[in-house]
Amino acid sequence: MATILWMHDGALRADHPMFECQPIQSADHVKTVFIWDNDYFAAAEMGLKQLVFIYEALIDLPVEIIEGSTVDVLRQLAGEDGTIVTASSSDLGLTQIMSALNTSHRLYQVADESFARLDKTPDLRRFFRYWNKAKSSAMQHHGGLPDFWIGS
Amino acid sequence: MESLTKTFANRSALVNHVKTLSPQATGEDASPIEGSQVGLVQKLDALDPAAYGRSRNFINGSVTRLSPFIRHGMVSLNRVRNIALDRVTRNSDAEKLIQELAWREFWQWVRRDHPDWIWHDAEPYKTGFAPRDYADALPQDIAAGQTGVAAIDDIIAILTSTGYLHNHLRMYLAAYVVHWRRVKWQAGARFMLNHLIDADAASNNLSWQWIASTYSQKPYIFNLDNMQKYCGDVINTQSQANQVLDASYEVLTARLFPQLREMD
Repeated sequence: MATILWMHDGALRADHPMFECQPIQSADHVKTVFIWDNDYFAAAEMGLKQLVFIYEALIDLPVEIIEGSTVDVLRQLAGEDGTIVTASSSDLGLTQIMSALNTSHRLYQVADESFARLDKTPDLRRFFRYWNKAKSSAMQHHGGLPDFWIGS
Repeated sequence: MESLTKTFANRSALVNHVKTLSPQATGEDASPIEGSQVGLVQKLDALDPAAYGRSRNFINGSVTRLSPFIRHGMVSLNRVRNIALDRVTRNSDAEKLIQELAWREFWQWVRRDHPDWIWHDAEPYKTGFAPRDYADALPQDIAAGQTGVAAIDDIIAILTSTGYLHNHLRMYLAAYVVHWRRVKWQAGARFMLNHLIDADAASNNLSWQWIASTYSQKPYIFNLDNMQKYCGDVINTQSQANQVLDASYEVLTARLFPQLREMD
């Protein structure tokens, strides 16, 4: 059963918590890929300078770059019963791709390290309403979170 | 399924490779800012939170230029914050920098909860105008950086040649597009996404809404005095070359938003 670690353009580093998650740690073999997907890039309005920046970041990473439609390529690599792991994101294009993958495969979305602890969804009408709630946590190392929370 | 190459003789070979792979992408050349680990480490080493707090509004101030690396997850907000706290004797000296990191986190939260706000007005304009009063498309002279307003043309030239703008320059350009030229924020946001190396629809588009007043209490505007204070000689801020910007806030507000006065 294939295990695919899909790196996308919002999580281009080798110490992202997705590398440490259980499906990756317990897999016999993990194939780590970035999909060079022009339809996704075009929908996100990405220009040449940003794409060069992304390619340069990929050169430093232990990842294969494969050209094509993200959904099609990942489905093919994962096979019928494979597992796909990626970094969670609120990007509109990425969430669409993740929704499509979720219909056919087990998709694990791993959150990045926490920045600030919030007891509940913050008031998003204005920044300072958020900041007033987040500040005490944001001004501490690891957002004041216990070590075992970091990267989980 | 073949992997794409990661070996290049030099940077121009890499740039040509990306051009061939993605001919649809706007732009003709790469940014001087490279997406390498070496570049990231240099910027983290140079991080000076106290100096940032004192000078971040100045175009030549001690800004971090970490935004492309944060945008692409090459470094986490958590790590940048931790480094910042390690470099100050009093946590309050790092507060301005950490607050700016929090803006990034905030915009991600907003997009998660309100994905429709990325391209649609979050609130009505508070300018006295309705959305129909704003042009849908970006005028060609703005796209070409030939507006005839020297400071604005210089900002556009920096954007299109480097792919990076200091936050204050982003605010000036956005305010000019939306309020001086009365163009929908969406058209300006799309233009910036096409050129920035740190382009992120949440931070970019929602910041444009903040400028436009569709996600804030009032429109953001500036004047030439403000530019002269913060920009040094990075851009041309001579009075004769920037006449439409050269007025008091009171005069500009009356000129740009005449219907607000009628409503008072």
